[in-house]
Amino acid sequence: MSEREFQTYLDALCERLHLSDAQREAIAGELRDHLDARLQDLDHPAPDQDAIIREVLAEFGDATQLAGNLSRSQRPRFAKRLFPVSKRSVALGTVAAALLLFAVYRGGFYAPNLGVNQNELDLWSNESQLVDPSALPLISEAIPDLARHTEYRDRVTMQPVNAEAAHHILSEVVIVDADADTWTALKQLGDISPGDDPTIAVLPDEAWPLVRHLPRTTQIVAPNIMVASGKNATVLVGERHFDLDAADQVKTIHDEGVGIEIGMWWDNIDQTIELALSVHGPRSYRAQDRKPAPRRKTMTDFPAMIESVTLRTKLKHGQILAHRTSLSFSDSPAAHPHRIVLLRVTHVERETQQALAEPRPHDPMPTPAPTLTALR
Amino acid sequence: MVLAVLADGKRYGYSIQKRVQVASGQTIKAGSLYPLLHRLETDGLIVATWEQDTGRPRKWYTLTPAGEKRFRGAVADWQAMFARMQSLVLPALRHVTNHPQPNSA
Repeated sequence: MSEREFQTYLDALCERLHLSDAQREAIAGELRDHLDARLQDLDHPAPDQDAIIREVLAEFGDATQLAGNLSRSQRPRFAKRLFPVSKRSVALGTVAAALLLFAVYRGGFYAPNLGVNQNELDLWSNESQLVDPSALPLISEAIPDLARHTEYRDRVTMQPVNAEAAHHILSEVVIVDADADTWTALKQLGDISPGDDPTIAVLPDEAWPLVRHLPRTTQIVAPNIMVASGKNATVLVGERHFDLDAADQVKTIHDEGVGIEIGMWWDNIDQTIELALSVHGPRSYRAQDRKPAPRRKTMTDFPAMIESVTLRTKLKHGQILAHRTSLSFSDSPAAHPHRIVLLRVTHVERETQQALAEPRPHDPMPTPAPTLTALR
Repeated sequence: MVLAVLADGKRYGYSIQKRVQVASGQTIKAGSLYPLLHRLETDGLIVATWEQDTGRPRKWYTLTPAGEKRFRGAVADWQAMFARMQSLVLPALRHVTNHPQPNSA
């Protein structure tokens, strides 16, 4: 009985070995020899040979685990395997670097499709006059994605000065720990948010969490908004108005496009982004043709209640034809702890204070409203 | 330990296991021993040959020059560590021996 068990064990082990037939056979022979040697080592025939076999089997342990260990032990260590790959990588890298240099020589890189040429936006004119770009540190971390992800942009050159100016603004942000009450308080400052100043938008109601978590997506939803993200800050700079509905109505759609749709839950938002972006890659064809889910239009006072994000891309022959993005909001009033980022923009604050100081026609008794300073 | 056992001469799996057990009082389970032997073989520290002395094929392991070098290095490390431990323990032992506690028997 136990002899059969042993054979069964060896069979199971060999099945799980990721090795050649010869190697499997050798391992089975070696383990079989181990058992034989153990039995022969006894001075006289074992009174209970089955017990010895079971002991040996127990020593070998789980067949799957042993097979895994044996398979791994037959492979060269990682560094040794890496070395030949590295040589190949060096060769490929050299070719890539040559192509890269050639591309730069031919006219530089193109940033993702903002829809609006960054050069035509006059958002940065004031800042660029105030800021000496050469005096600012590099901000590869502050704006991580604008230059790298080119799939959403169409031959629009990203000017370094914009990034540097954004970095300057990032150094001026005010971060407020916010809950639903804080958000409500901020909403009372609606005179300045999302910005009476036509060039600066702060905390647009619907898109704020999208901006915080999906800067790249915001470039699709609101192509006229510049997004700068730091470690704990996201700043919007751009025209004050943008409209998800309008963004949804992008209909530069050719016939027979392929719709891609992704929707996931809020608590897994980062993975959603990654997945969405991976599927949205222009060379990805994994997505299935699906009808769009009915869009919920639940509005919320607190943007942390955003529940899911849906991105759709129309592809034709591997080319992106159009993007659509929609959000859905939670009906639950559960508030997530959040940080809200405000720009400390002096003239906006001044104008706001002036606006607050002036009595409103429908508000005979002006109520004191929190100021930006008070919220800090 | 496996390298030390093989420094004495060629051995097969079960005899290595038994030798380690006799010498150190510790048991290497077969489930750990064979992957270890194969790892050492893959790393070129030991070499295996199949022989048929006992009527059935048996895999014998021998130390390679690289394995011998590794073994010598390990022994040197061990000796250095042992010397450090001695320098720490022996004075303390002398102190305890020369100054027995009053209530000790």
